[in-house]
Amino acid sequence: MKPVIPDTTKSDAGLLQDYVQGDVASLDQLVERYRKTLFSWFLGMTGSHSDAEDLFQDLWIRVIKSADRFKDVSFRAWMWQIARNLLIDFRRKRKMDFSLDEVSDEDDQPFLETLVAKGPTPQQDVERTDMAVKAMQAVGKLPATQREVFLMRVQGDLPFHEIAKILNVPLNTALGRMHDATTRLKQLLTKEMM
Amino acid sequence: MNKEETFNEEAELRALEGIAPWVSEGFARMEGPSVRVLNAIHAEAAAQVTRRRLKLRFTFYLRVSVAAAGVLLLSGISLQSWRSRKHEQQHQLVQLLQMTTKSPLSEDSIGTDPAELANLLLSVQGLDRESYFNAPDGTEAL
Repeated sequence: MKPVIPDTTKSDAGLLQDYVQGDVASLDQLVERYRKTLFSWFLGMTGSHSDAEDLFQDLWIRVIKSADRFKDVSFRAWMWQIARNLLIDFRRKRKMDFSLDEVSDEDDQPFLETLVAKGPTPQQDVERTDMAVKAMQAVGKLPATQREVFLMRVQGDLPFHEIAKILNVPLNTALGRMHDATTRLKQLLTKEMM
Repeated sequence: MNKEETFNEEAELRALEGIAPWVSEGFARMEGPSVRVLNAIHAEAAAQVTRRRLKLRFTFYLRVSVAAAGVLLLSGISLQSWRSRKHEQQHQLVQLLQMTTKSPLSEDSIGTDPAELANLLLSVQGLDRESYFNAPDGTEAL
């Protein structure tokens, strides 16, 4: 595969339409457009690089296979919905006693703590790295329901109404989860710095 | 979270400002999906395009074949119908001829005796020898 030069002129739906017409490079463009956000979300939700890779690949294979059935909806919302369904299936298969809709704060385990050690840590930026590592560790300690909203907003840059739609919850519920997530993160980070 | 509590979108976004950049930076330092995964996605995308093209081609030929088979079937039915109609007409003609003559036509009965032949021809026309020749203007020759 050739390196992809990002093309910002076309909409997501336009690129997908081009792919359906047979232009594989358009699909590469879409993958590149959502590579960081989706992969980060899977990484944040699973805590495993290899699981995140598997889910990321599965997601795009689903997009590829159902591309010709896609119409008249937001591509981003559609894709995030697929991503979330994949994550639910993944956790069910792993027999994690977990439902993104039902999990309580006590049921969930932190995932990101195992991740942070893998990240590169440039010597000249130790403090910044340290803070980023702590922030990620704190995110890893969030319950899954809060973490998914938090990461959809921070990494996916999704507006709250779209997050609520993807999660199939009222807007106030999505905002409430975000509120709890930020409150808890602030507590955790304050504790870390003291 | 209190279920009765209502939350404000702008307030939540403001609360994020101090945390979000650090989390984003943390994720930015992580490795993305490997080249192997990206290549696998690209290969699947290309394979799907090929499958879709083959499917389209197959569907086209299938439609042409179904149309040709339909045309052949209709032609066969029309031909058969035409032949059976023709056969039916011939059969009706023969029946009509048989009904108009009192006895079945046979080579032996035709042309041997002029008087019999005259009778037969008159009966085909719905006439009979007696009334014809005894007509008031019975001068007309046969």
